[in-house]
Amino acid sequence: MIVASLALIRFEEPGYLALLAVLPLLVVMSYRSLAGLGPVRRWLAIAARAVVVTLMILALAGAQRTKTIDDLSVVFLLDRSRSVPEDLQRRAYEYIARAANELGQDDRLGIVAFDGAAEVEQLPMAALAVDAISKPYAPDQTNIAGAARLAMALLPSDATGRIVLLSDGNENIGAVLSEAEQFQAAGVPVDVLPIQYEHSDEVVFEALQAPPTATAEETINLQMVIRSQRAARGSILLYHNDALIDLNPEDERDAGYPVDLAPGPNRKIVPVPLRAAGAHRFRAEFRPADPDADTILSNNEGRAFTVVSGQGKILILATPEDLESSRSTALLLKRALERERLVCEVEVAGANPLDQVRLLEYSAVILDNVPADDLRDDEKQTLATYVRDLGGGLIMVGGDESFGAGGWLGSPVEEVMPVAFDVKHKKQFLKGALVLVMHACEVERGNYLGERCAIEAVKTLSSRDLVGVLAWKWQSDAQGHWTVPLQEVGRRTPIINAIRQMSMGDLPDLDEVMRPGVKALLAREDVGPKHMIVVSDFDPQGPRPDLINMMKRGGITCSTIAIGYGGHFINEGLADSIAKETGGRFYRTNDTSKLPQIFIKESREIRRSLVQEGEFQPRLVNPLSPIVQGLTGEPVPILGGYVLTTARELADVPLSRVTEEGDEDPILAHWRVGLGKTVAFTSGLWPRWGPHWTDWPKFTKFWAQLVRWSSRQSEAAAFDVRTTVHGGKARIQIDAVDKNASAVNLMEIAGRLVNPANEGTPLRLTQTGPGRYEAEFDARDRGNYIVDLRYRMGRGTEAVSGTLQTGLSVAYSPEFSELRPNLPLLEELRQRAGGRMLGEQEPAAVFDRAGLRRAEARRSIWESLIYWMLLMFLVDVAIRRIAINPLELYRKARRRLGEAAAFGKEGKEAAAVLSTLKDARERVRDEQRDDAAQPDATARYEPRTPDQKASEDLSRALGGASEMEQPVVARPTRKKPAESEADYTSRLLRAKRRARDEMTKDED
Amino acid sequence: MMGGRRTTGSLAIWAACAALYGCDAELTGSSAIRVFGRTGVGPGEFSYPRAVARTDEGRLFIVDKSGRIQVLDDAGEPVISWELPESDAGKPTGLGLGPDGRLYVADTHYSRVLVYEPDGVLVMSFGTRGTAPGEFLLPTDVAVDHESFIYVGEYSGNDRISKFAADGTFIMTFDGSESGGTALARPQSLTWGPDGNLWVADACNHRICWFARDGELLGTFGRSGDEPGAMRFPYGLDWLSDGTLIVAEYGNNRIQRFDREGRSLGIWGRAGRRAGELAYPWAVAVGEEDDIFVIDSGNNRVQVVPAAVVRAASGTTTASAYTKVEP
Repeated sequence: MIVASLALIRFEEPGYLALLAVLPLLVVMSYRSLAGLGPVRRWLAIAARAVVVTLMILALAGAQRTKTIDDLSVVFLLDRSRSVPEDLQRRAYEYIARAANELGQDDRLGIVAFDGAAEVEQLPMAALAVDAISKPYAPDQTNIAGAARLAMALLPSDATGRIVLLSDGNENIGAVLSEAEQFQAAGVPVDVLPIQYEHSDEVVFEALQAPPTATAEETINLQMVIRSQRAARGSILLYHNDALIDLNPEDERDAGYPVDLAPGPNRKIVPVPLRAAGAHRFRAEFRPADPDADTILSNNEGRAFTVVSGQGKILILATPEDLESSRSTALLLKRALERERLVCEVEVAGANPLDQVRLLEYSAVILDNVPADDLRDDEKQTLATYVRDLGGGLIMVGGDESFGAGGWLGSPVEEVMPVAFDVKHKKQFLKGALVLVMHACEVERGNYLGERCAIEAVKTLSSRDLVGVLAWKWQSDAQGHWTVPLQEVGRRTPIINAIRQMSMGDLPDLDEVMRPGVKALLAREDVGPKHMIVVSDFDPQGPRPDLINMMKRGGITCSTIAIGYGGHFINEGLADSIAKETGGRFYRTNDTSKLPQIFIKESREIRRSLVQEGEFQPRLVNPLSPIVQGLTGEPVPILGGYVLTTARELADVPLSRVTEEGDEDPILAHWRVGLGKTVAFTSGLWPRWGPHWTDWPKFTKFWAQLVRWSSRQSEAAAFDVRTTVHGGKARIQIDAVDKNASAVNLMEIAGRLVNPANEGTPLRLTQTGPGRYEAEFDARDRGNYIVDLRYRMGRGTEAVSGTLQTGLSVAYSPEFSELRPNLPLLEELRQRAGGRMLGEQEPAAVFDRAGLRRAEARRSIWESLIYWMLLMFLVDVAIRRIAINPLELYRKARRRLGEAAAFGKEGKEAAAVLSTLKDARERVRDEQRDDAAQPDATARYEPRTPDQKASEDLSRALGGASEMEQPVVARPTRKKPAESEADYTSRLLRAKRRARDEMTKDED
Repeated sequence: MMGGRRTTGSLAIWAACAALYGCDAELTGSSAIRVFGRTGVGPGEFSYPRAVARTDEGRLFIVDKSGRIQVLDDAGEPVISWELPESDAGKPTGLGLGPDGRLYVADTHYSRVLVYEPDGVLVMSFGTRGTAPGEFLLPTDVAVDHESFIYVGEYSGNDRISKFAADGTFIMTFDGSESGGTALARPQSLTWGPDGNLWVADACNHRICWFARDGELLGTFGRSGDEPGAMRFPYGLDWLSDGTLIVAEYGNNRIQRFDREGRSLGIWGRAGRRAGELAYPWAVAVGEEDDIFVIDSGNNRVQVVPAAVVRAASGTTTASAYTKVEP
């Protein structure tokens, strides 16, 4: 309850109040001009007018009503970052709960939980409404400043506010101290309850340092810095590219290097020889002999990598089916490239995760007929970033599971390829139709998940394919259960928007939603493959046998995905039988993260029509392309199939197939994109699609040229590169010397930085000393930061340019390196923000109002002032124009009571009064004659004086004759009355004569 | 004169308020529908309630997705509640009462029947997962006759009714096809008719069937649709004292009243979230003075529709709320 202790008026623009000075003038002027109203009405009118003007001035000045308020809102900021042990986080919450017991009537309590991000757990309310703090969002970071800003925004403007910070003060994003004064200025003190802990038995792997760059065949020194709180014993395990290095050759069972750590920092150096070009990743781990001697195990790891310049390896990704087959395309390619002395590695796509550091080992990646769902979404993004920001090469080789037929449409990989995977222009393209039947089945965030799956599926379809989405709707509408009626994919956006509106109801019967889908598919005769995907727990009633028969007869395949949660019963038998009977596939998973991949894989079913089989002669369109140089002497061998794509406008298309309709379908296309290069070869699948192609003597040369063209080039640079990371900031420092060992100045050195989230940002190094170039960037997230730089030194013909890859690793969150709270920061914050240091024992103190600046609530009242002004204006007009006559009212009243009876008696009395009045009238007339005698050319109408009016009214009221037939006040006249009379007489005479003349005429 | 103006004024204000806030007042006020329960897991709160059973003493047993059975009085005041032994795999969808006053629970996702004393003491459990006679896949509802024979409906490929002795010994199974009729498709609700037969809401066939105690199919009515006389996913059944049948239609979000020949006598309710509107009504139970307790599952509440509203087929209720249909 807001209690107003005092009501005040304040002004937004007090300058206007100076206009109040006109009020006396107004009074004087009105006093004169309203003289005719009589004293009472005159003063009333003047008062009304003054009020009107005053209200107008107050409105102009922006009047506001102000109330001071007793309410107190306290927002608790609760630190849930990793540096605060979980039991202490719980204790902090319990403190809030105890404080909530002390809530007074005018108190409000809000909670913001924060780590790297701040979340509102509870808006300021009269009671504690949450029974626990929600899970951390970005626990590897601490952003006190951001949380405090959010708390400020939560504090109601009409209440006094206070922020109570429960934290260890180990912030690593933002700087709360720089904002502390703002809180005090806003009248919101920040009280602090430090969360106290001390990790005394702790070993922290502070750094694993490797030179960022090296040359092949060099032995580098890995430097480890391990800080220990007290003497500890343990061993160090070192991994090079995920393989354990044996640091302890004497002990066959243990590859770990035994160490005795002294209190304080300990340094160890391990030499490691490097053979191949590319990236070399290192990971070192300290393993304590006594696990109790180390409280936090997450900070026992160090990571680093070194990039060795030179021609890197080629990575060929293939499917397991291809590698198991005796005529593997991938192995055929590998052998061809190895004959040209290129080092190749063949791998099953998805077997080893792709990340940027790993990809630095390779100068190009070949996707050999790999379907999109074999790679995770982030790996597809990694490939695109590898090309665009890190200058890598990417080659997609065709087959029935590649390009659009492999579900790559709409993926980040498609964006970097020289061909688009959609075929909008093809007239003769046989489109497919896909119907999705969605049932959320109570899975956590089921609706969101369903949306995502459906959208992923739609994204992978060609714009000319048909798609429909069905989900049980509890309120039937004109569309039935269709969320998206079966239609062409087209621009995708309207369909995706409709899917986002999808609401998946509690489905009682699969038949009810599948049947309209089947009917719609059967009605389309212009469609090739027809496929349905049903996701459900298959707990609803299954489709009836006649529907399954309709599907079988109509060639509609149906794949079923059975999902559930925990021990939820899933009718796998039903799901399996639907899939089996219709020729679809059955999937069973409780891992909902796999669903989108299954949808992508299943949507491929209808894109089989993108695969064109049949022999054709590829046409050499551009013999000048660097990839086909030297291959132009004879015709290129016949191919047996390819995947339909559309060449991009800026892409080079050396080989194509001209169709009967005159379309040129790309067979080989390449282009530069960002810093890298990509190649699309839409045929492949040897020997099925090209037995002549593999027998071609130039096969090896063709592929070697193609791979060499697209490969990333990296030269050894005589630069000394150092990288450091500290407090969430990374620094890269390059010392450049030329062959004469003198510093290279004025060098251009810039490129891209790729962070652990695969986001590329530009990075430019600035010169900070002779031959020294530096750049700094944020490195708060755990993972690898890769820098790909282009440099240029010298000018004109002497200019030398090259590339350089380097980077650094953040092994663990900075939160894990904190061993105690940052009390000085908390104390400084408290002082600057004018708060108190709280103890855990007196939670009631948070609602203590002593020393708080009371809040004021202000409300503009100018609108109401305008209304009042208009009202008073009307009152003013009314006072001047309407004369309320009490006697008149009295007369009417009397008349009603019986006019005739009263008349005789009162008539005599009236006559007596009348004679008195007549005397008065004569007296007044005499006075006015005197006034009229004075010459006054500007004389004007003046209202009758109250005395005159009163006498007239009175006589009327009493039934006497009016004495007012003639004007009492002289009117200005230009003609003399005598002249007027003569004129009047002569006019009468003329009229009489005219009338007589007319009468005589009539008689004639 | 002034009085008239005041009336007109207040009418205008009332009309404006009604237009601004919807016309709940008409439905809640004039036809006196009671609503109790709200979303939650506390006493008297519901999380998708799906089944109800009412004793003659005015006790409502309601099971919802919080995995507990709540006992409430006719006014919706919670009396007691108890947790089911297990509920992670799914929650029950049917409740029945025995002549001994015991509560029979179709524990759907655990493929069994639980038998409770009215105070929540578990006295018996029977049933195993399977498709063989006497086994269950997903039991929907339980009905117990005066001789304590237990009838259990089930669905999901095992769409049938199985008859057990009071101790859970399997006796027989039937689904209507033995009598030459269409086999059951999700018998969602089982109730005893005034004629002593077993009446079944054959949900996915969108019809009502009735069986003799020996499993013989005696008759059916209903078809799929939303016009009077048709129904979509009848899920809940109970009888008014005049021998007419009340059907909760899950798919049409309404209650429909039928005579025993299948003539529709009226429809009440429509899809929505306000009072007088329904979202996924799973079950009904008839109480004192023929008050109909409608389990308004999607709205996490119970709506109590008075007999007057439903039985007054003479058109005294508003057309939107109740439609009389001439047979």
